[in-house]
Amino acid sequence: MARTSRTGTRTDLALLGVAVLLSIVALILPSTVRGTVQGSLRSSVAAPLVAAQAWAERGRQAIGDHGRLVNIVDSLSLAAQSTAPLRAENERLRALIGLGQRLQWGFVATEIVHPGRGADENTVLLAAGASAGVRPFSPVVVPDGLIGMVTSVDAGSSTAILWTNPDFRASATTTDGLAFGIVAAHLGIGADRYLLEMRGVPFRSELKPGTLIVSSGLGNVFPRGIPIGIVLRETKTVEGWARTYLLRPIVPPDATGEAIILLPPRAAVGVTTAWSSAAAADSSQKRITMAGDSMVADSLRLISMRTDALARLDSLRRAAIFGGDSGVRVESDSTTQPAGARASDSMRTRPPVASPPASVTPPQGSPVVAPSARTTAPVIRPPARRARPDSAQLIQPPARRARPDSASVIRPPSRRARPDSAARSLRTDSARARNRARPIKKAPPPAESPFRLPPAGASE
Amino acid sequence: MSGLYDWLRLMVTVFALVIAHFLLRPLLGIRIEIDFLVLALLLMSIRVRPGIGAVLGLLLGAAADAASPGGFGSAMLAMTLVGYVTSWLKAAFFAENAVLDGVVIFASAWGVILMRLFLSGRGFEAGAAISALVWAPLSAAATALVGALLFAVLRPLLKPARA
Repeated sequence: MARTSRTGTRTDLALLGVAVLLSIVALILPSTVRGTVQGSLRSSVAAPLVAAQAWAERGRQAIGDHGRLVNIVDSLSLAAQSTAPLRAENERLRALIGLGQRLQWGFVATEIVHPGRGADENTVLLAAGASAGVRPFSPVVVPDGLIGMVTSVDAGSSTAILWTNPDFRASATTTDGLAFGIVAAHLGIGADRYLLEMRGVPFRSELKPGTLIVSSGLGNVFPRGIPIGIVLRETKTVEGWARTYLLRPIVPPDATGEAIILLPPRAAVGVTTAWSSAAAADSSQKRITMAGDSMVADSLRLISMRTDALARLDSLRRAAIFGGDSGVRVESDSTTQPAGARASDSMRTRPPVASPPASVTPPQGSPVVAPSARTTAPVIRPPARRARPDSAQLIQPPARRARPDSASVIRPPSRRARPDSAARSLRTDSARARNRARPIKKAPPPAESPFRLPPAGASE
Repeated sequence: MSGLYDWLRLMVTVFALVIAHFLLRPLLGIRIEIDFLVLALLLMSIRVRPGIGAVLGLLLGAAADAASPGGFGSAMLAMTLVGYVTSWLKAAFFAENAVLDGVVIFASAWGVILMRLFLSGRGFEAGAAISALVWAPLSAAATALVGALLFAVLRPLLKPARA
């Protein structure tokens, strides 16, 4: 028993010695060998333990990151909430700077101090006064358009009424100057309270919804061309001699923090160039609409005139046969090939195209005379006459002008064919065509009422 | 058969402690660390001979060293000595006194921490005194507290082997 105990003790001591020896060897190993042994252990026997430790570390980091991420999300949310007003303010200030650059001189940039609740919301205080050159009746504008007018001025500040004020009045017109009226606040109920109305528009002036209304420059308060509102609809009024239109204001009454006061010299000179882009866009849209209307009207008119034109051609033939070369000039652009001529005129609204004429298709409903029909038409022309630049509409012998299908030739833009005068070109060409036909057969005078509105854009 | 079940229960417990050492301790991530490997070593060493206890300490120390970046061999030597001593002292250890169990566990854990600290060379760095005299005793006390509770709970299942 004692021998067994002694043997066991020796074995224990031997195992302890081996274990201690191994531990000391592991301690005194060179770092490279130690790293190799440690790495081999980590990748083999202790791999699950190391993996568990790594997983636990990641879990702890995830738990810690969760709180940090929540803080980050909260910070970003706060930042996002404060970013939108800053962005809006930046855009507003940028637009204000753009307006200042367009005005160039004669204005004062100021802040608008809106009154608090309970005060007169139609009157604001401006942080610029007489020392900055502000005078009563100076227009107050923002990049979008007109917002009000200065009513009283002291040294360092001034008071202005907004367009929502019942006393606000502005002489206004459309961008093409066809309709004039007085713009005032629409004293409606509810949401309509913050609309404008344009009173006193002549009954003959019918404005379509979406028409831009600008200041007219009459009255020497507001210079011409400041956008005021957009036509919504016509309101019913008791007056039978004038129309009243409801306008959506260009500038919301509470959406501004900064504004520009136009000083009297600048207002006297005019500010049409400052808002010309908006007015030009509106005018362009209107021209395009009118051009489309003119094209449709001309096409319908041509269809009805074609029968008369054929009869007129017969009479011309008879005159040529019986009268010989008597100097009678036949310009048959309104007779034999009216559709082709007008088709080429209509193309003036587009940029010049150098494509072959055969690829051009005339508008639908516009009859095109075939080349064979044109060549068979007799040409009676004095030899001394000079060929007109737009003689593509004329019937000419093929030897003089080698343009077999000249009916559909697109002419280069002449001095009359400006892109922005497409509608005018259409109308003048149509009128010219009618005048050319009149020496042969006088057309009856127009049976239009003197009170009827002239064609759209006729005043241009 | 009964001995086989006892060993199975012991192995499951030791395995759970080893997993807790590598999984629970990093997950807690607190400065006062509970050394579950020391508890596992004590549980096994009181059931085996001192030589076997030393070898078990060597193996557990190797596992601890493999998972720690520096001081390879320090845990092996420390736990070898702890395994041998606790196996030799098993007559006194695991008495019906939880305080005594706690004292032995505290001494073992602190000894392991101190030996690892100094054998790895970190015991001579700045702040080592704080680690050795503040954080190491606190960690050893936490280990002793957990071990005393664990041993009290598992005492019916984990009877020490007869000498």
